This record gives sequence, structure tokens and C-alpha cells, in this order.
Amino acid sequence: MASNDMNSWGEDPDELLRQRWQQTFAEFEVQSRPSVRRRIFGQLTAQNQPKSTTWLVGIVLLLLFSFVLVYTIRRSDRSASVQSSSANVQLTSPTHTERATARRPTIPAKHATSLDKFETVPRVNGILAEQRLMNHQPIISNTESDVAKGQSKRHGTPTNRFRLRAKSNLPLTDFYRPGRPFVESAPFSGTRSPITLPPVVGISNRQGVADLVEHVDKAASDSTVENHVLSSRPATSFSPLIFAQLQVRALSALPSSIRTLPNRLPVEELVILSAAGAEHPSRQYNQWFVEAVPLSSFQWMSTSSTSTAYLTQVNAPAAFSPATWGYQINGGVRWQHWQAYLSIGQLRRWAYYTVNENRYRMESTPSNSYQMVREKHVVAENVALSMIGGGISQYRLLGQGRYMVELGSQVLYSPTSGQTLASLRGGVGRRLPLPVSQLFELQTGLMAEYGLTRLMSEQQQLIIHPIVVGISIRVQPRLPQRK
Amino acid sequence: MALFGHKSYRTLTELVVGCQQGQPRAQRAFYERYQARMLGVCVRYARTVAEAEDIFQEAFVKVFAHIEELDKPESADSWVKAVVVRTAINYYHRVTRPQENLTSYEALSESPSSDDHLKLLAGYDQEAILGLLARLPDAYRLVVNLYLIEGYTHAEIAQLINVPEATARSRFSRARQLLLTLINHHGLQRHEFLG
Repeated sequence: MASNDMNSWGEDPDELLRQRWQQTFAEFEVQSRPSVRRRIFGQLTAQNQPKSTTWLVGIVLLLLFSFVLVYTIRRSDRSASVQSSSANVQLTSPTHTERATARRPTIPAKHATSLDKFETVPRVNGILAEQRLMNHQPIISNTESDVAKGQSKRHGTPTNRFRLRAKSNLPLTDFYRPGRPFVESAPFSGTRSPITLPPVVGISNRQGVADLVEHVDKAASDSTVENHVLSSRPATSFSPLIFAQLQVRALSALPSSIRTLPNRLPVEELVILSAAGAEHPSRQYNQWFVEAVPLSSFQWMSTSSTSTAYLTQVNAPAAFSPATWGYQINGGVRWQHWQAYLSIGQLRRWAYYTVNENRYRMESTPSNSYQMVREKHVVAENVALSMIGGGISQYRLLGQGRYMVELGSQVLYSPTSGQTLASLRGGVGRRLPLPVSQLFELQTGLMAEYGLTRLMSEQQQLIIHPIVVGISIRVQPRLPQRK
Repeated sequence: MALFGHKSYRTLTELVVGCQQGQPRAQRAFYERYQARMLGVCVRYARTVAEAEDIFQEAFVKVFAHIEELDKPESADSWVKAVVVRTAINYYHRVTRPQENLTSYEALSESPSSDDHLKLLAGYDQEAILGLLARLPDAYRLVVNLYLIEGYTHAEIAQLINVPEATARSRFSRARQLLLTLINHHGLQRHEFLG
């Protein structure tokens, strides 16, 4: 401690006084209450806990992010690979067209479909793996002249089958042009090498799917029709394609001679059509997003029914002032019109008030009289609550996909205070292209949260009803514009 | 040994090292070692016990948060007290001063000497003196604590509470006058009550 104040006064005139006061308080002790001890060690635990919790949430978010990144990249690779393969495809002449045409039954015209867009079915280790709709370029297309004619011809006869060969000298692969009479090709030779261009069948609408299933069922019950082929006619319009996956149950009912067409892949491998989530392209999104939300808190406050103190001068910081600032970082995925996310952030909770206790003391006044003075103390809390949690919400694209609105709920937990906050969450955002990337887009907007549960002030005197508003800034893979 | 409530910590150094390593047992022992004395310090600076507990809590959280920075474990006693006192000063700046009722004591013209002060204090016990201290205005109570009990010089106090030294000196002078006035009144009060 400091030495005595030796100054212009010479010897410290207060030294004796100081000694008296120091002696008086030398052994002065006040035992702390157990609740104080609990508060201190609770706070210590809470301070240590966020580190591990933050790490945990961080790792989960990282895994989530990695997953969606890998998923996105793989999807892009597939798309690029298929497009590349398409570019390498050589269209070869059909063979035995006339003979095959005479032998094979034709498929009813009602099973028509479009060839403009396909769902490819790559075969991986003998298992059919569904690849989502590539709603851009067709994987395979005839030459312009073929398209113009609507069919391929050899010796002047239309046929539905083409022989395709990749430039990498892979074995020939048969390809059916649905809606055309089936023709038999030369025996399929060679091992079943990786299929560059998997056989596909596209159906333009749900009715087509139903018809196709019906057709397969019919074929299964009719043993005389051994070489029935699933096909459909070219679409007459460019309406969005709908693909339906044939139930394996239906296909497995087919006679083996049908399921395994001569010199071709089994039917199960030929056809896979997916109807799931095909009502609208926007429902097929499986996408991730990362969102940062600087936010500001507002509070409605009321007194606790158990409070015995009389509270006065309850104040709040100015709206949107730094004392109300917090943030939230969300990362999550979307599925169809739903989005789920994990959240980490910080909310402000404040309470400025005066507690007028039920204790009084006598005070003298200048006029030598005495007056009763109620004891009171001022409480000024403004704490930053670290919050972790998650939420789920539903979103919709509006304005031709330029705007997004969402409504949902979330639950946040504060390890510091041990309180949980459940809230309704809503927001509206504007989607903007991200200048630096073609793959991602930015979404900015307003977000609001309405607390369904209550928080308690630190001294349990006030019930706090939080309302949070913020500006959301979100990065996500680019979504197509909805028409 | 029972010195720190657990035989694992035989010396203050071991106890501090245990706290620096984040051992909960060491933290509890450390807390038990200082809690009563430090809450006593907080009571001297605060207006109410609740306020003292707030300061105490804040100070101990700081102590545990920064104990890693304590290079000399053997000086933990003075270090902990310094943290508590500084927390009390911060609390005064942050909470107390904005709400301070700036009562003017200019009318106090008496200038009693320290001898008078000592004589008047002679019959007072610890609790009574604490009562006097609590009745001082916040700024004066702070200066009296720092100057008379903690032993800081006026220059150091001026630095701690961020005022000119002359201000710190005059505050103490006024606080001493006010204490005497309060003692006189209190004596009268006691006399009247006893009578």
C-alpha cells in the first residue's frame, strides 16, 4: 500500500486518525451468503462452458457446411460430367431397324413423354442411384436433322433406338427413344462398363407415370408380351418435366424375360422415374445457407409476483443504441419449403431500476429533527447473454422469386443464465446476385423475433419479455428465379 | 492440511497455482480463504449489503479470470484486495456516481482537528463507525476508505478516481468535517435514545 502522504503539511496530521480507522477495520469480516457463492461459481462455470459449447456448435456447423459443400460440388461435378459426356456422344446408325420394327410391339401413344429433359440413372456398384433432375440441357439429343424429323431413320424407316458411343471407346450402349417402336440391336458385347450415358426414360406428367405403371403391370400379367418396352412419345411441349420412380414392386412383378430384355440392361436399371417433389422445381432444393444477423433488443418488463420490493424508476436504453446490440449467426439447410438451422449469438438483457426495500432508517435533518428514510438501492444490469440453439421455419418465394418470406420458431439457450428463450421468428428478404460468384447469392432483409417465453432479471425482480429486430445478411447457393 | 481447507494445498503458492490451472477444488479453497475479508471490504465501499455483494461477486469473477496473470503467488493477498478495491472504484464510477445525490456541504464551516476526531471516535465500536461511513456521500465514502483505511496518498487516490489531486484532498477534508458532524449528531441521537 501507499506510504503516508508526506507533503507540504510536513508530518501527516491524519496519521493517528488513519491508524484508528485501520485498527477498527483490520479484522473486519462479513461472511458471504451461500447464494453469493453459488452465483460466483455459477458464473465461473458459465464462463468456461461457452468455450466448449462454442466449439461444439462450431464443429457441428463446420460439419454441416462441409456436407452441403461436398454435396453441392458433387452435384456440380455430375452435371458437368453428364454434359461433357453428352458432348462426346456419337450418334450411330440404328441396326436391323425394319426387322425389329416388324417384330416388336409398339407402345401406346398415351405413354408419351419428352426427351428434352432427362433424369439420368447412373449405376454405381450395381445399385441404382438417383440423380436429380437436370433441368437444363438434355443429356442426349438427336442431331438437328433428327429432331426436325422427330425420329431417326435408316433406310428410310423411323426407329426408336440409337447406338451411342462415347469418344473414349467405351462399348456401345443401347439407347431407347421412347415412343418409337422397339428394335433389336446387335448383341450387347463386352462387360458392363461404367455407363457413360445411362438409359433413361422421361415422362412429362403424373398421368404419364400412372400410365407407365399401369402398362408395366399389364405387361407383367400378360406373358405373351415378352418384349414389351417402356416408352413414351416425345413431348409436344416444353412444360416442366415430371419424373416418377417406378416402384420396384411393380417392376419385380415382371417376368424375368421382360425384366431383362435381350442384350440390354434389366428393366429396373433402365427405368427410374421420380415423382417425389416434382410439383415445382422450387421444392427440390436441398440447400444450405449461412446467415449473420446484427440485431437490437427491446423489452417489455413487468414485476415478478414474488417480488417483495417496490421498484421505481425502471428505465431502458435508447432504442437501437449500442447497449441493445447483439448478433446471431445461423447456419442451416433447406428442404422443400422448410429450413432448419443452428444458431449461436448474443442477446442483450438489461434492467435499470431502483429497489425500494422494506427497511427504513432514521436520518437527522439540518433542523435537528429526524425523519424516516426508506432504504433503496439502484440496480443497473446490462448483460450480454451468449445464446445457442436452433430453429425451423417455412419460407416462400414471392415476386417471381426475388423476395423470400419466412415464418417459424426457434429455441435459444443461455448457458450463462441458464434461461431458455423460445420465440416466433419472421422475416422478409430480398435476393440479390453475389457479384463475386455465380454459384452463390446474397439475401438481405429484416428479421424479427417475438419472445414466447420470459427472461428474468439477474436479481429476479423483473420479468423480461424480449422482442428482437435485426438485419439478416445471408449467403446461399443461387436459387433459380421462380416464374 | 486444513490451512486452505484441503490437504492438497499446503501453501498459498500451491493454492494459487491450482487456481491458475483451473482446478475447481483450488478455486473453492481460494474463495473460502478470502471471502469474508473481501466482502468486508466491499461493505465499506457500498451503500447497501446488496450492493456490496454485487461488487464482491464481480471482483471474485475477475480474480478467477485473471489469476493466471499473477506472477508472484505469494503476493496473492494484496493482489486480491487490490482487485476488490479497484472493482469497488469501478462500480462507483459506473453505477453510483451517475445516481449520486450531489448534496452541498459547503455550509459546513467547522474545521475540527484530527485530535477532535479521534476523541469523538474513541467511544465508537466497529459497527458504529461503519454506520457513519455508510452515511457519508458516495464520493466522500470512497475517499475516506482509500485514504484512511487502505492507506493511499491523495496523489494515488486522485489517479485512481480520475480527479485532480486537489479535488481528492478537498473531498477528504470535507468528508472528515462531515464525519465529525455526523458523530456529533449520532452522539446526540444516542444520548436522546438512551435518555
